[in-house]
This record gives sequence, C-alpha cells and structure tokens, in this order.
Amino acid sequence: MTDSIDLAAFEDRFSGYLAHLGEIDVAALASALRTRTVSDGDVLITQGAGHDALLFVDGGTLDVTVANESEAPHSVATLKSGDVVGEVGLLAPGPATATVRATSAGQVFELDGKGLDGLWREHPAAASSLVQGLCRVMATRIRSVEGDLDRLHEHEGGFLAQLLHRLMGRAA
Amino acid sequence: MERAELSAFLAEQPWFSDLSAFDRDALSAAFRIEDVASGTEIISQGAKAHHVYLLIDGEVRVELEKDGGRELIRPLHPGALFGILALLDHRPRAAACVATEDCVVGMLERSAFELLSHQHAGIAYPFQRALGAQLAADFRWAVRQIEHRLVSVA
Repeated sequence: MTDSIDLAAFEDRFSGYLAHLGEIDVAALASALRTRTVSDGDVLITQGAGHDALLFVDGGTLDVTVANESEAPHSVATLKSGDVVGEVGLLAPGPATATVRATSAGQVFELDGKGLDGLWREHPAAASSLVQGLCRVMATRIRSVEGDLDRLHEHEGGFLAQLLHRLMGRAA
Repeated sequence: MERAELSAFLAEQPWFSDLSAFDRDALSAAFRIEDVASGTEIISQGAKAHHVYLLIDGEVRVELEKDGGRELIRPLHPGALFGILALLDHRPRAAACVATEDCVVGMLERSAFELLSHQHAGIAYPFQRALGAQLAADFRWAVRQIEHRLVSVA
C-alpha cells in the first residue's frame, strides 16, 4: 500500500520512531503497512483480546481506556496524529492491556507480526532496524517503570493505581 | 558445554529455531560459555555493562537493592536473555542477577552484540526479536506485579 502513503509526510509525522531508519528502510516499512480508515467509535484494540499489531496514528483521535475488576472503564490516554501504540503486542503477542477506540474519523497504518516477518523477508535491514528501535523504546519504558517503582516506598494505593493505568495504556 | 551443544540449544529456542545451521553456529561462536557456581552474582546493580547473557542451564534471580536489603524481582529460566537494558541504553545495570543454582550462561560482549545488530542481518533480526520479546515480557511482568500489589493494597 505504498502508493497510498505519502513517504515524506510519513517520515516527518513519525520522525521519533523513524529517525534511525534510512530513506530506503522507511520506504520498505511503508510498503509493509496496512492502511486502515477508522470511523468515530471503531474499536481497534480490545482489552483482553489477542493483539500483535503496531499502530501508527496518521489522523483522527483514539481514546485508550482501561477496565479492571474493581473499576469501570476509564480513559488513560488520548492518541493523536504522530503517536504510535502497540509495541508490546507486536514484540510479544498476547492479551491487550487496554482498549483503543476512535473518537473521531481518521486513519492508522498497521504493522502486525505477519507484516513484520514479511518485511524481514523482503527487506531484512529495515526489519532489523525497526525492531532495534522498538527494543530501545521498550528499554526506555522499563527504565521509566523502575523510576516510578522507586517512589512506591509507602505502597500508596492511589499512586499504584495511577501507575498501573499509565502502564496498561502504554502496553496496549 | 561444547559450542555444538549451544548451537543445538539455540535450535530449540523460539526465535532461533528458523536460523540456518550456518547462522546458528555463527551466533553460538559469538557467545563465551561460562559455568557459574550457585550464589555467584553474575551482574551487579549499578555496574557498567559489558555483556548480554543467555541462560543456558540453571536458575538466576533478578534482585533489586532496596532499603539496605535485596528484593526478588523475578526468577529466570533457561532460554532467558538478561542484562539487555544497560547494553541498549549505555546506563548502569538496573538490577543484580544472582545464580541460585549451578548455571551455564552464554556471554555476548557489547562489541559482538553491536556487530550482530548492524552487520549480520540474517542473525540480527531473530536476535533482536528475541531481545524485544524478552523486554516486552519483562514489561508485561511489571504491569502484572503492580496489578497484584494494587490488589493487596486495596
């Protein structure tokens, strides 16, 4: 679906993610993405359901909600154009930790496990560079959790809940 | 352990099972295989990172220094990669890793790790998928731990 993606705009919009990829790698990645048009109310990821895709939000807004046994679903993050979600699911497929729902019409680019393996077969260097970048994102995230956990000396429930919601939103 | 045995061990691991025998042997050759006695601190918290590790046999505990003591973070079992964070972000080791029984570990030096990452695409991708899967699993584990602690506080 490369022809539907404006490469310059794609590279510019997701510069944080793509900074370590060369132009050829970005083009290769774009060729592996599935373009998905979303309408207000569409659910892209469902908490608890299997999930293995990275979503690049190209337009529109997405609400990330978390529910658990003791609380009703509530919003923990809003995603907009330029945001990326789903790294954990792509790297280690499993139940999603949050629900991601469109709150306005827009478009996302999706890369699932099959797409990533396809990218690997066609453009190994691009796939390798992308995963290397995802590993660095995960490393930063885990360091951030450690910093938060250092503040948990008093096991304060409100802060724990806040931290959990933030993590679950990220892990979606 | 002989290098051929490490190659056979890698063949049983999810991310390396599809590697060609040639690539698997090359990856095996990049590791230094060490026998580690029970009780040995393989990684010290706060230390500079020089290696990433593959647990081949035995059990390792990840521990965090806290309030003058040690808190168990999680046990690791054969097939686990550990010591990844500090290799990726060039910061001090985040936690200690201690052998709780006699272990065999594979040690991959930073230079070999970076060489694999940048110059051997055939090995780099499955290796990075393995690292990514381990990091994502660690992250999921952290989320579950906080969930459990939250339940215990409530």
